[in-house]
Amino acid sequence: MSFEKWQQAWHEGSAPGAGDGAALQRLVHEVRGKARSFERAIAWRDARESFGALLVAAVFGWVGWLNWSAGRPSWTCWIAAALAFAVAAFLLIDRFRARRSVRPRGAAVSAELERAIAEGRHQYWLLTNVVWWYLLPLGSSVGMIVLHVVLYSPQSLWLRAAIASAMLGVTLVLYVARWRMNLRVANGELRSWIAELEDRRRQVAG
Amino acid sequence: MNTNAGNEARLAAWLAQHGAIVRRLSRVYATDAADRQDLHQEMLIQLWRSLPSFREQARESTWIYRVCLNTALTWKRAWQRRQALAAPGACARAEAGAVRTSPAEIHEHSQQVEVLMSAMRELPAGECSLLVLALEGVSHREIGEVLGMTENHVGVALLRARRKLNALLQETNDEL
Repeated sequence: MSFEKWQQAWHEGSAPGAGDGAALQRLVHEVRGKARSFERAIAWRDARESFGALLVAAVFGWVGWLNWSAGRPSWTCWIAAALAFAVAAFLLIDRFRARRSVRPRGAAVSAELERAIAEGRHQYWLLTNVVWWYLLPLGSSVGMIVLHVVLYSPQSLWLRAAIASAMLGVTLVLYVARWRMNLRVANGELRSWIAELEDRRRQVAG
Repeated sequence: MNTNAGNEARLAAWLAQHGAIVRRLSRVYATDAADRQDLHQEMLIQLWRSLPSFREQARESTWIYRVCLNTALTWKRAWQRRQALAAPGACARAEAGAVRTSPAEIHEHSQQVEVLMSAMRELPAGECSLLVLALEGVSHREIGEVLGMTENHVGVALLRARRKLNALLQETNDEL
């Protein structure tokens, strides 16, 4: 069968449009509604990601303010709040940048593949370096509160040591789990996805 | 007319004229009915989201091909993840061969086209995209604009892709 015959068969039987006027309007409304709910879901996910760090910053800031108002030492709480706030700000800026870069999809396929690869590599960087931009600053933030308890709490030395150990232990277990999970995603699913995109880009480039 | 109403009117006009392009492309890049529906919907959503950046200088069809192909080539990630969970270790060829088509879809497309699409799914994504556009009747120049290739490169790559497709179709005929 010649290529021209295949071309003919390709178009055969498929109506050019997507139904009559009313059906089209319904479809467009549906698409618009789904696009909106998709945007909302993305915005909610982004807000949720940074909300945890913002909450930690607010709580530590509040504790710092209470201490400062009562004339007690508060520097540890200010540092803890600032570190948590820095993580939240980093997350928000990164999500904002990602949303801006993803929006237009009318670029040539080779350019879109380049963009997708760059985005994939950025995600890989985020996941493999989670210690530096997330776990270490937030961990240090918790560490500052532990230091505050050890230095300024009125309780006995043993009780202070027990509280500090428990806080550090729980934080350490959670952070190691998070770090391992991120590495598993980065080196499994994400790495093979980037390789596949690079392969496609090579195919398009010839 | 406000922006949203304008965009709605434009999307309706695009779908009235080029709706079949979106349907055919979603059929090539997804194998079963549920995935086709998902991909078709995803392409429509991306077309809607891309409307604010559409410029009049671009041809509508070129824009639609770009948005749909870009969506298909990045959407496959979710599809492959689901496939891997459903059937660990299944190879691409087996997946491509396991095409399930609803009666309505069979009515819409001839069996010949199903055979053609199955063969195309076995080709690398770049060659598959080239063939889709050539079958759509898009000129070499426009294919170059859609994929980001030179016109000469399109000619050479298309020739190679057609040879591979012929070999695959011949193989299928022999099997049948």
